[in-house]
Amino acid sequence: MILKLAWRNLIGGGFRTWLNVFILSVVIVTIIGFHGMYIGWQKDGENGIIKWHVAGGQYWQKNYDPYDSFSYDESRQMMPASVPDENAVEFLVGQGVIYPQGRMKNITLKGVEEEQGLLELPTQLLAYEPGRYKMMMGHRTARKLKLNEGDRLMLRWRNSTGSFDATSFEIVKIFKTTVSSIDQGQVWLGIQQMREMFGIMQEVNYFTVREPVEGLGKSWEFKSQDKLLSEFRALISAKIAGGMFMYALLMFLAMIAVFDTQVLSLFKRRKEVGMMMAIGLNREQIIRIFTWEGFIGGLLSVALAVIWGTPLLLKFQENGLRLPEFMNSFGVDGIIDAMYPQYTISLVIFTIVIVLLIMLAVSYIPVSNISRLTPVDALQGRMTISVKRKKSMLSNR
Amino acid sequence: MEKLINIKEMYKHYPVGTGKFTALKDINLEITDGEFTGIVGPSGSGKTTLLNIIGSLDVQSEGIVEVLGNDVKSLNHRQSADLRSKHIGFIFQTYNLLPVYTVFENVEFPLLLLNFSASERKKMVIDALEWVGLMPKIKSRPAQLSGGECQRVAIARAIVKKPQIVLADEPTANLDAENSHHILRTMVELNEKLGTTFVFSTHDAKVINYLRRKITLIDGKIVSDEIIEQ
Repeated sequence: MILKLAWRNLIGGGFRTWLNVFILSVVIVTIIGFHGMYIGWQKDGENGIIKWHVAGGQYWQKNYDPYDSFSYDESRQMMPASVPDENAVEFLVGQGVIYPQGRMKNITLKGVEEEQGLLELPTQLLAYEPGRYKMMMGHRTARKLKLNEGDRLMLRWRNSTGSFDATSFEIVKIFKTTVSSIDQGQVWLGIQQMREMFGIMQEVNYFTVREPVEGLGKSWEFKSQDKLLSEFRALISAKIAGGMFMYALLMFLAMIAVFDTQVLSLFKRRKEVGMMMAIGLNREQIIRIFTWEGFIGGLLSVALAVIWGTPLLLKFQENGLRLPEFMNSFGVDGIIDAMYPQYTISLVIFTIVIVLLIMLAVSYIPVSNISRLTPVDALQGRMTISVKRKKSMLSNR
Repeated sequence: MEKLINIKEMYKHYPVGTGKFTALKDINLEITDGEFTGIVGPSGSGKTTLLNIIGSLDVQSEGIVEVLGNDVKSLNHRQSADLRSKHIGFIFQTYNLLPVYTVFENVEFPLLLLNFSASERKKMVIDALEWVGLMPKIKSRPAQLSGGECQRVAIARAIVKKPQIVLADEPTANLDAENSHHILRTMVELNEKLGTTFVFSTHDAKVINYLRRKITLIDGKIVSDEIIEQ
């Protein structure tokens, strides 16, 4: 009976009901869309980092600190022989200065094993050719330095004797990657080339492995995928926290819209509540009717959101959401030029449950107040009960 | 004749500032089964308050009010809702129809509370609409009806469950003379056909002509209680 009456009231509400339902469906789709973008960004970013740099983890020479350039020279050591070559990629790190178009810029030099098959870095292009100095860099660095493939670039570095060498390098590749940590502020050389430049033997600063290797001793610290992804995850968490503000704002606006409509509608329907009381509905039944009205409204919003939101969100997932140019120049980690949202079941369920709970709450609160009116007050359309009248009413009851 | 309403030494006070206003004073009244009774008096004489207390929409401050054997004051809100739902029908001056419901749905509403089956409800609603002559408007909404038609829907809603008592608060106040007479004739017929007890509050002379018992209330006090020979 309650459900039937609630449904009748809701459908009878006509335009007011459908406007509410539509607004809520927009909120549901927007929240899922926004959150889906963060999830997509995170997944794309993590996949990128793993495929381009991290693989199954890295071993860092115990003195290596990527944020301390003084540590580079002191943290070089030969990769342990027990690590199978085919399951590891060697990296050598150093410092240099480049002169793009006559300007001077400090840069991190990364030497990478040319013949590796573990990472997506196009290292084969750096294959050693005596007398030919090859270099590659990420698209963000190239854009910042206004460099293109085929350009030549003067690089100066300090060799093992302490004197400075310089030569002109050819940019053989500008690669596009989602991973800004292998792009910004660094250029890539073949490891053999770099060893020759620095006059060092088979040493590396760190190496990436397909899977962890046991028994490498205390000289090598294993950095797991989780550890290496933690910075990126922290960045995404910060973004999500910022996104939560938008999430909360949307929810709040939806809640206000529904609450406002419910309150207005309920105050407008005070006499209706009074009539229901006169006909014989008790307070609990009235609360249930109006609360169900709101809840069913929420369910209709979910249904409407599914109808128009599903194709829209799937289209975004398929085509991605192009970022404006200015965002690209920030070098947003994990994104090249488009976000590809991903929607998880938990995200969808969580959003729907939250919306429905809010609908329940904003429907319940106003009606629970109105149902406290006496039938006479409600029938007369009184807004509130004076304290004395309430006391008198209660003492009489 | 069964005594449906029994009121003894009843007072109703309202707090006003630091004092109180007495809306009903020393009311003593008995209404029996099948009566067609009007409570008449000028505005502010306490007619609606008395009807509200009889209908268990309000409670007295002092005295005893028994409706169908129930002491109104001792009922909690669930019990009084139950009493209204099963035994009392209300007709209001402003009709109080649900605007989003059709005529059928408005009349069906009280039956939903009493858990009648769909087929029983349909039959009872059709019967009630036939009594008030509104079958052609069964699918209309209140906004599509005239004032007289709305009041007839309200009457159908009040009588559809065949309550023992129908309380009508100024039922003709918003109606023109022709509609008022039509409504009153309908109620007289229902009173005779169904044996339902009707209690009105009114100050409309047209209504008074239809009454079989007239209780006059002035300043919250019954000043006369007379049986009118038809």
